[in-house]
Amino acid sequence: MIELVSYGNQLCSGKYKIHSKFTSAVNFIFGDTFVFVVSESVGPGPLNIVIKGIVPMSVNSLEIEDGFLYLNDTKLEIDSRKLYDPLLYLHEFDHNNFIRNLGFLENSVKKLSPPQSLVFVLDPGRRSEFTSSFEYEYVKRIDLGVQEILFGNILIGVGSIKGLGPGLTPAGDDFNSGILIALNLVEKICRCDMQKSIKLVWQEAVGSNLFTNAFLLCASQGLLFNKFRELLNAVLYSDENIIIKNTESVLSIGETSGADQLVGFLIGMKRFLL
Amino acid sequence: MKITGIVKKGEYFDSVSIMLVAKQLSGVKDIIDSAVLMGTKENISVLKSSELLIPEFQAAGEMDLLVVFKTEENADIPALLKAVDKLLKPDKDMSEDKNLNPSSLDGAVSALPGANLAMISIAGRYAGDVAMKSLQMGLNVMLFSDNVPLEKEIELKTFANGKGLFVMGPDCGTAIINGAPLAFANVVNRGNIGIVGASGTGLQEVSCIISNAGCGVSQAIGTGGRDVKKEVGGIMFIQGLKALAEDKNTDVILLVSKPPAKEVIEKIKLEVAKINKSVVSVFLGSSPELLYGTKIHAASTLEEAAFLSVALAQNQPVTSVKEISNKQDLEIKELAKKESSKLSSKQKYLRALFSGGTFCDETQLICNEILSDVYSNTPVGNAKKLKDSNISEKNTIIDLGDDEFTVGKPHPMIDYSTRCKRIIEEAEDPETAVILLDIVLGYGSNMDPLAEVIPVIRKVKEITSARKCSLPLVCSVTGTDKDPQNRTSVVTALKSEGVIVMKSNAAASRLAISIVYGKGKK
Repeated sequence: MIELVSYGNQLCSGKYKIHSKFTSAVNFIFGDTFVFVVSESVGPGPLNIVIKGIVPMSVNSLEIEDGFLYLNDTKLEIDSRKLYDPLLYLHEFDHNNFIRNLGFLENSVKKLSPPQSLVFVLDPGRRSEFTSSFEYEYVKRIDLGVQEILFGNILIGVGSIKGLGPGLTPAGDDFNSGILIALNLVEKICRCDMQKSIKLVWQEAVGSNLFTNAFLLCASQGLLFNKFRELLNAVLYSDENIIIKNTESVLSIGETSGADQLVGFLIGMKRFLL
Repeated sequence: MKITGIVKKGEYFDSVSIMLVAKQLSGVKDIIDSAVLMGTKENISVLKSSELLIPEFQAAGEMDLLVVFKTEENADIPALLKAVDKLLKPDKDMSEDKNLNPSSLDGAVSALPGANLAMISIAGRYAGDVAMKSLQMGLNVMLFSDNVPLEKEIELKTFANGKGLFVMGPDCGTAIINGAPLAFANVVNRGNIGIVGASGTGLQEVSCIISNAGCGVSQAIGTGGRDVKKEVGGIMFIQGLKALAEDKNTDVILLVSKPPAKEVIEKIKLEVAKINKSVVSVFLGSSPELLYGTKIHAASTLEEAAFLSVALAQNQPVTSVKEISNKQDLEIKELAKKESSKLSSKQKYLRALFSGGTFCDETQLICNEILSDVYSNTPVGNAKKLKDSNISEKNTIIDLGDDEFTVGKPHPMIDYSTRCKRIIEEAEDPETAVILLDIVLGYGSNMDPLAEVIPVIRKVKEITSARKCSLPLVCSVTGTDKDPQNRTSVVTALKSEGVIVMKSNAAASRLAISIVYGKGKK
């Protein structure tokens, strides 16, 4: 029995086809629009349909039409009470505490990230994981891109990092979505209009990979997946223990996606705020 | 040199799987260099720079998997391509040959029909779903994986509870079911003492002490440490207790845990009241007052709990345990006096380096009564948090199995390298008065611990003889003679190197603490 737990605010009507399948998530595509059918452990997001009752892997069809979701043969009403709001709302916060918390976040990312992720950008000791000539060249390119970003050549850096990485969701694209999340947060914190910059970075970051483009578009609009939003709330308003807990939660996204996105976010914060 | 590549159209993998396949591929004989990647144009550009690009890849798409490897000209390419295929499709091989290790739950079930327990040790984020699938297939679950979300644990345990199945874990490192040691566990005698444990090393210690005292274990059910927290509510701890209460081969029930939530203690008390068997508990760090008015025999150390269980299982009075303890205290006092008299005036502090987290807690709690200025990376009781876990302060008690020491490394029960390095550092500190260690034997642990520690013990001797001082090394060895490492052999070898080996961590801790305390008094 499939039960709808929540749905994102960016879902579009259509008869979707399967793009790719993993244990906790099935990625559906319609035109160039993505929807992700996920388990509760993955959680809400702007493009997510969170279900319970069956494992997402057994969902083979998705149609969204006239206020209903059709998953396999089950018709589910799109109940507005289950709508997930992916925006981060900024209230009054202690700036010093926030800066200190960014330090805690960086330490947590260094400590908890999988070695195959981009954590080597923050922790050079992790480079030993990359040994073949392809991996060596990959690390070198990421490093060069990061250096460009830190020197202020954001577009060059983002452009050279995009699409890099062996997996389905290239680590470079996850990193760039972290940069876009950082830009959106800085805009909120500094109360200045950075939309032009954000748009330029987004245009540079998108490529021909429709899958990662979907994530990049969300990030550029400040639409966050719940795990990341909770982490940002923790960094803004909470303490080290809550940050560690929420970092673990973000790191559970994909195999390295959460870690790669966090590394991008931290590099972005270093460049734009600190 | 020859470069060979294949394009797997429409096959996609996450980056970690790809990197693992790439690593395995680089270990295949005759392969000099290799890469496995999705065919993005950026990756193709990286391939070009690393001189692994072949023309066939230019037409590949982003949803295509590319595999490329470099060999000598005369390498057997068809055989290597077959090897690549095998690395990418383990499931297929499984269905062809059931003697191979199954790589999926379905594969495992079809390889062993009739199995009633699934042991799951995969990345935490996936483990919950596999565990649920196992439960739906009617299998009990031992979930070795950690990092399973709390909500998932509750969901699994609630579901299992409704079906009368067990979920041991997540993060359950030890269990002994029907005499079979699972994960980090020891080969112990079978007997009439049943154990429910929310602490892996604690469960190992009590089961070994029981076995070494001539008694045995009917079942040792691990629950994972989070089970006894308020959120999970002790679902499996209580279920384990009920199962042992009904088990006709169990006469005495031993409960082992770090402090359970008050709500869980209340549930345990209610359940114990219905059981017509002897029950012993060791809830390390928990206030004994919480168990007043119940028939539970509450112990304050793992050793005491094991001895109480043995006494009850052999129908001896529990006061006999006090006699054993008094005798041991006298021995410890004498030994401590002797060792502390050999120390220099500078040697003042205890340095305890543990591989077992529960031992680290137990030693800190024993320190509570005697030593001040105790620091730890995982403080309990009166201990304070170390500023930097890599640098000892005064009396320092370290859990080297904590996450901060194990990122990207095997657990210190398997890989002694971090601890060996730290032993030398502590020996070089002129303020170190005693080094306390645990060595845990059994399945899962290092199969040859002596090869790791004896060179370090000798190095410590070199350091101390150059400084013309004495530095006692005190150790407990958790294990039995039936373990593959053989406890007696390990103990004998350690003693021959001058290490003081005690029968339990509690005894070793009391001795080490007494040496430091005696030194202070002098």
